Amino acid sequence: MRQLLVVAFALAALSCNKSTPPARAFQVQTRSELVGGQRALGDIGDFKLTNGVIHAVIQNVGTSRGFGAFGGSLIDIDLVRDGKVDPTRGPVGNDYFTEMFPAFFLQAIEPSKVEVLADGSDGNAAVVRVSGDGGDFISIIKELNESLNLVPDAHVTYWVDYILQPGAQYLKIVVTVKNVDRVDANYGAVIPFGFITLLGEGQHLFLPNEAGFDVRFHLDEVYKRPDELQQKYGLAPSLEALPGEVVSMMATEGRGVSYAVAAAPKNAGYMGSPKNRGYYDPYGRTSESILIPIASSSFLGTFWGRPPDDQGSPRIKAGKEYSYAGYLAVGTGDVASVQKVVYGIQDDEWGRKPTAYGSVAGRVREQGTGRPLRDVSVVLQDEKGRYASQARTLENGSYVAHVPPGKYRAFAVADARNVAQTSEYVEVTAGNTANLDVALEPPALLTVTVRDERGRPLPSKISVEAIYDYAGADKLPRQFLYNLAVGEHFRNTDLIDDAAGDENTRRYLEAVFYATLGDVGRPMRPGHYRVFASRGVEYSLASQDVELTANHTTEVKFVLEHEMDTPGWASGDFHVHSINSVDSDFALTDRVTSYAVEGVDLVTSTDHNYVSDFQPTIDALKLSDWLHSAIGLELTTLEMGHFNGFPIQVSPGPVSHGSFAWFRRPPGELFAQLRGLATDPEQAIVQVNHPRDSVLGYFSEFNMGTYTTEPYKAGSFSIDQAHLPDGGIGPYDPSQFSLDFEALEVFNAKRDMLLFSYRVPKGGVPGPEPTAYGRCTGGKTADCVPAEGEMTKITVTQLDGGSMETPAFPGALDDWYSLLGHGHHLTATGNSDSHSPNAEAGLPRTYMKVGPSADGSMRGLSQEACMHAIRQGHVVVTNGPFIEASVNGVEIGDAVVAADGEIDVHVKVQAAKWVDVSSVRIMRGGRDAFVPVILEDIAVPKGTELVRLDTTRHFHVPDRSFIVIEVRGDADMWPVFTPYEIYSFQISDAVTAVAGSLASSFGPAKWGKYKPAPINTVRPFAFTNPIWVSYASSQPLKAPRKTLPVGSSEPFRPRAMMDLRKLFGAFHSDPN
Amino acid sequence: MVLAAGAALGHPQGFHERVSLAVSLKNVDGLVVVDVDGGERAKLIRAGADLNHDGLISGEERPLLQKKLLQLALQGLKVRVSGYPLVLSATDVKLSTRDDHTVSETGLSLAVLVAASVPSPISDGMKLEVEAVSADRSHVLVEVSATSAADGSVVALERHEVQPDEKWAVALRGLGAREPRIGASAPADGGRRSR
Repeated sequence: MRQLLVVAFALAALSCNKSTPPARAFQVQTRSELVGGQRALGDIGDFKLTNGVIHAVIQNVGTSRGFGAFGGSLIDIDLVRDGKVDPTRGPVGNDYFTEMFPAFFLQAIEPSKVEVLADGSDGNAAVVRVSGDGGDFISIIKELNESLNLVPDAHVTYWVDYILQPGAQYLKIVVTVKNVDRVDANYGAVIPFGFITLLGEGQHLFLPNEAGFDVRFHLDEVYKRPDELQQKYGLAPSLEALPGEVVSMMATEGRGVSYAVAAAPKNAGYMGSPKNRGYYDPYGRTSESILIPIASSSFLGTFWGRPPDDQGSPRIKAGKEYSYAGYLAVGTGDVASVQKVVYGIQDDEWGRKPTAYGSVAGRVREQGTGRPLRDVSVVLQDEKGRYASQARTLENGSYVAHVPPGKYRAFAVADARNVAQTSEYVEVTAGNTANLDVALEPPALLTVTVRDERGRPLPSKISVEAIYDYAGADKLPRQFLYNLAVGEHFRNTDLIDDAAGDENTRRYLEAVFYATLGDVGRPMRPGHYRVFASRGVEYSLASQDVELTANHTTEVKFVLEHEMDTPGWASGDFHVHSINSVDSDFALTDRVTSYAVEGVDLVTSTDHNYVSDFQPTIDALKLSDWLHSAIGLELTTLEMGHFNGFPIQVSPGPVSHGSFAWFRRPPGELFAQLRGLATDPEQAIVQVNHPRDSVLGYFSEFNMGTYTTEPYKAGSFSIDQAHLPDGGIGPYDPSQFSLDFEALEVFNAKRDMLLFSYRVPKGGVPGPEPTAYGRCTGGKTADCVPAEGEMTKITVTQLDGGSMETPAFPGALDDWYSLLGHGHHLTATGNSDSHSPNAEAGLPRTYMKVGPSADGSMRGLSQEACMHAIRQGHVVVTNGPFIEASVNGVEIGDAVVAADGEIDVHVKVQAAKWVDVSSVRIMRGGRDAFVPVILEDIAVPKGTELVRLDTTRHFHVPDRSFIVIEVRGDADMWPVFTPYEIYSFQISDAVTAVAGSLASSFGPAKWGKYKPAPINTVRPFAFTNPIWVSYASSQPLKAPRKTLPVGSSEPFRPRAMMDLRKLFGAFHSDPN
Repeated sequence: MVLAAGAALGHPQGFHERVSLAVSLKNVDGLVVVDVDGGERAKLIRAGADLNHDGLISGEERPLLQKKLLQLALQGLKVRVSGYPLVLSATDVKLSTRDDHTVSETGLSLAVLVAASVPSPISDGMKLEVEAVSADRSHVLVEVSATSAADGSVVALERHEVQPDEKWAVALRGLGAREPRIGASAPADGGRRSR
């Protein structure tokens, strides 16, 4: 009996104790051990941490598979799901995290080793350690780092411990910097230490302050603070007081998973020093605060640490080390779920205590019906105007959010419904729940039917326009029309200065959606609208005014005419992103539909370092008659540029489906390897994208002189051209500049600043004159402000020591004309670089003369003919008008022999009725004219007929010339093509802000107000590829382009050669 | 066809072999690392060392496992200097059973230091020829570096995925002053491979 009782008690004890699964760390051996998910980058050989609650992957050494430079980063992290494994894709997970790595201001770790430090078998935390020396992941900062001694002269090493406790829903990350030298490591300034996080699209960033979800524009406001703080507190921005968001944590909202980054207070000393306390305290700084000075695209900087203070100087003494720590938490999809994890963190070693919090819970229902509403976003705001949390309603309309004690009101946000805001605040105390219900107005329903002239369903885009009330000339719509901070979506506007008496200056788009196969229904906010139907540049534009009322369905029917037929020509877009790019959340279905509804014939997938295939999606949506696809890749380097290759093979097995490593490899080799990926290397097209983008532009990075087409000497803040440690030529050395590619993306998206070289606008520019440059006088044409209409120029030093003038803000069009004049037969293309619906598909597009397969169903489109047309230059680039041209009967891309130089240029310009054409320019370039000569400007009378101009002109031209036609329109293309209204926060802007007094030495900043406008409306522009003219026949020798098979022999240039014995020593064997 | 597909997908379940060769005036040192993916292959290798068939790899049986892996690691590796065959001897070995001492499908790893000496000095212009076949006939990643006699600095030469039946040749440079050559082969220009 006694024994029975003992056994019974023992059994009871066992059943009452829930055992926490252990944490484990190991090197990944099979794909089933990976995390899985849309953004998952892990592969065999990487290192994994798991505890049954969350799991994470740290990449092994090598080149980053994310957007960074080096391996050794945290690349995947997710909740542990149900363990399903897809036979072809691996584990079915939901990782939506791109990459995270420690940063010491703008230096990172270049790992030489990743290892399991503790595998968790002892029941304690599992730990993976990454170690190595420092590395510049953005080399243009190198000169800043060196000149300011931001990287100490002493030898310091770094290691990062990724620590996962059993049962924890967060990863603790401890970063240590050790001075292994005999001299002190002195820093020239107090620089922030922290992390760079690349979230990727699909994770909506939320900051628990006045920003909420509106981080992009709130950061603009924050960067204006230095002027205010300087006036108020006498403080100046500097490296020791960087402008930025001051927050308790950074959190995200996503589909099924969310993330948060928080700081450990111990050693978190960047903010709060006597020098900068007054700068940050007014914004709620605490010992746990994080500073976010940079939030650009997917690139987020979170900082809180700093070099230790030694007698007033930032210094790590010889032999000493410094550490800081942070936490990366994982939630179930909304901000509230991951905030709760952060609130619960207790870490005595690092001074982190749980945060007292209460909850706000309630239901969201529909007014009138009382129906509970699911998937509504509820955002809580405190009495001081700070957005504290966000949660999504469940199936029964309920939500719960967790906030510090205080008073809160709620905003309920749902597409197609007006935002509801509670009028009163509820009080929340620690540990308690306050109730707050919200009611949303019901939506209206709009159904649209679109047919062509023959009554057939037509894939079309539906744009719903509304007019906002005049709110003042200095008010932007996003300041009063909608609230980005609570998560409302951005509304495109016409970008015309508002006038009280003119509604046509106050237009915006409430919604844009697609009638995939001619029919669509969509809930909408009640209101008065003008509904437009369109199908790109060849079709008409139809509209109808409607009044949408709640709970009512309004039907609209349209007929669109194919106004501009282009027999024998197919339109294509060769720079396209989808959800397979880390900076795009465009699902494949919507992605391909966006092309069908814009009337583009050929779409080429070019995701960042990932090979996608759109055709299965096109087929599944039954769009094969309307749209054809090709497979490509955008090889995305960090600083050298972006390069597309198509058509290429897709390899389903590897993580990136066939992309390859690019880091520290010269451009010529990258071009050759892109060809090596092609289905037929002889037919491959390698295209250089946005060559004049700042950090991402190939010509900008290599300092290519517009009129020489060769690199000139780099100035400050240029790409790192130093030799490699083993003495080899670095990949960014000017000698590595290569023009061994087929196509140049001259017209990228709707960014005028990349297309046209900057000229001082007619009518001048408001604002003070720059101090660095005066007006051009006495024949001076560079390093001074020229007359209106003239190009700004700078003087640069050539590699041979000579000097020359070059555009201060060059555009790709001028580069291309010069390249043609130097004899480089590069085909110009125009592509959308579309990542989202705001960047309309096929804006601009590339028309290719392909022959009969372009007519009729796109199933029959010959991809080979398209590629041949591009290689041969039978191409017209346009965002609207269509140009046909010939010289002495010879067509675009071909060469004509005119023995006496006498030529007849025939030009025919067509456009759909809604596309404006105002002028046509016939130009001649050549070896004697790197800046093309205008042969004639032809004014085109206003009109809406299809053929706007059909004329033949006679000219005499020198030998070895080329003829190009440009077409322009004055009226913008609203609403089919919306303005370029949201420009990315440029890294150069952050550097300028950081450089402070050094900004005057940073090229673009010296020009003050005389620089390209970052935003612009879209006006019609088109141009042809050249027709070559020579006096005598000549067949140019065509050297075969270099092709390198992937995986072939390559020069081995490691950052640091390691002793074999050391490598052997690092190998972890079983204990003896 | 199957092997090619396997190679294209990175042969996720098989042998992964990496060889680093450091050439100096009188020696060729190397580090050979073999990883065996978890699966049937690893289980078979483990079972081969389980002499008493108790399902465990005991302390006495471990050397057998190590010996087997060592044999698999080195059997396909042939190195010549301008035609002169080198005899690579293992000088140190480390084995990892991934903390699993049973006859299971858990993967295995081995690292071995090898060394070979030459009768006459190796000089710039000579060729290092490598043949490497891993146990499952997948490619072997080979890296070659040269150590200068003058200052001990290390020059990285080439890295290549050596395929089965391929003879990969690397032109040696960075070793220091030219010395009388060994072997009968004439020096060739660098990096040319032959099948």
